[in-house]
Amino acid sequence: MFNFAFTNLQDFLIMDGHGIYVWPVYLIALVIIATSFQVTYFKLRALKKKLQHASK
Amino acid sequence: MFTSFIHRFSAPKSFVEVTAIFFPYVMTIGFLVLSVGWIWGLAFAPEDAIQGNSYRIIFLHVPASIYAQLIYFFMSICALMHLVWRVKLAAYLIKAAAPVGVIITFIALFSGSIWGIPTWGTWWQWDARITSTLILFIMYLGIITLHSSFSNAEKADRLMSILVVVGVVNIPIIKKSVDWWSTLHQPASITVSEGASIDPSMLYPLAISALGMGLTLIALGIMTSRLYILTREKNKKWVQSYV
Amino acid sequence: MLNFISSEIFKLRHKLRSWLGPLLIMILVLIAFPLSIDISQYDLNKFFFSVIVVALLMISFLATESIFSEDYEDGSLEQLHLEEKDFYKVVLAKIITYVFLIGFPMALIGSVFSIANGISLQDAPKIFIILAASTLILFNVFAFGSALSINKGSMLGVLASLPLALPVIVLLGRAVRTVQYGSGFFEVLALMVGIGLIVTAIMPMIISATLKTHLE
Repeated sequence: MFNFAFTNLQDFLIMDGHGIYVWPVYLIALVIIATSFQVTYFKLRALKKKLQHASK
Repeated sequence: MFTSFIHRFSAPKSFVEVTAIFFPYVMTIGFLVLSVGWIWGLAFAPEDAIQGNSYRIIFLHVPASIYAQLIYFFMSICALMHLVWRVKLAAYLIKAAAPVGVIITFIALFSGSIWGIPTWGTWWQWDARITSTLILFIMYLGIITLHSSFSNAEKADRLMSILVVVGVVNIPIIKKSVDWWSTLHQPASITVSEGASIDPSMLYPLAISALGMGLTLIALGIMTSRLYILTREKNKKWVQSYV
Repeated sequence: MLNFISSEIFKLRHKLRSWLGPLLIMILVLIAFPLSIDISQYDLNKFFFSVIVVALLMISFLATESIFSEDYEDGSLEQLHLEEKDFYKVVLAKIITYVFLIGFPMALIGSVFSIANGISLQDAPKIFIILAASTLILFNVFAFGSALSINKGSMLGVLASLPLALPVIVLLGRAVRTVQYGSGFFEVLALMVGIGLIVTAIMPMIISATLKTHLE
């Protein structure tokens, strides 16, 4: 079950021509998820800073 | 007794404090499990006999579709808790879960659409399941728009909860749609009664990806809920002492 | 309950544009569509019904846009809410009145136009009945949308309620296929009427809860 399903790295990227569909999808999904984590984290940090300033 | 249990654990303050403890673990475990699932699926699962290598999008698309609907179910339970037991935290969780739902539904639609190009030759097909997912996407947007157009937050919470509960009708239609109309969409290859018709070497990475994505989305939901709770409750004393 | 219905009929009859407007717009739309395409190239009979259905959808929304807003603005909705123990009866009366006075004429117009485009004369009553049953569902759904967005503009109401109305459209498409191919119509009609009755029973209570939220 755990054999690498491709002969080499080149094949892994191209995937018999299907790589151009598979890789952009995964990359865009990763970018979207990572960006949402980042944006929320920054907003949380800014909110905490604002609340700390307000309470002083 | 049940209502006192709910009221004890439904204070926004306890939600924020409790999630602060286990949130880092949820996020890291989620990322790890998701990476394992995806790397296994992309690199180690064997090539599909019919579809070739493009089937590997399944490890993103199927978990995304599952969670697109599951998040809506979660929102509808929260909406019921808000309407029946007047739990404010539930309304905060709906508002926080909606953007997560939008993102994952978009990913489901987008990945399914690109998967369709090598498999079906078309990037869009007006069959029932795809159209229902698109409708679900619009419903998420409608819920967010509805809540943000009211300045009175309590009124907005209640109206949003009503809309979520009414919209939950759409979800069974998605489930039944593959049976009702003859479509291009592949009939479900995992059914509870018959066992999976998908090969185990593909099923395991799929299940692991689904688990990982779930934990990741829970982590994202926790982050957005904490942000929203702190924003809504910022005039309360516990927030001042918390930050 | 009956005096609610009679007062709603009175209100609607005297506000001609609320009643006649949607009907005229529907006629205009159904005339405009063939004008916009090359009728020599397309066999209109094949898809004109979908134009009728979409026109019905849009005009149902238009017709229920102001179903609550006028009463809300002049305070009579609040008055009724205070007086009336079962507020959903008011809502139900409004919806039933609108369905009978606006929805059924719309269905009639739709079935007349469908005769002009391929449906035979003996099938036209079937089309009328199925369109009329669908207006029952559509008016309920759009009244819900209008109640959610009572003075925030109509766009919010559409966004909220259109996803609920789309399955009705699918069902209507299936219905016309059964009419065109000759079998299975009564099953679809029964489904449509059944769903319509359930929706009419449940929706007014949900709408009254929504309106109460606005009135507080």
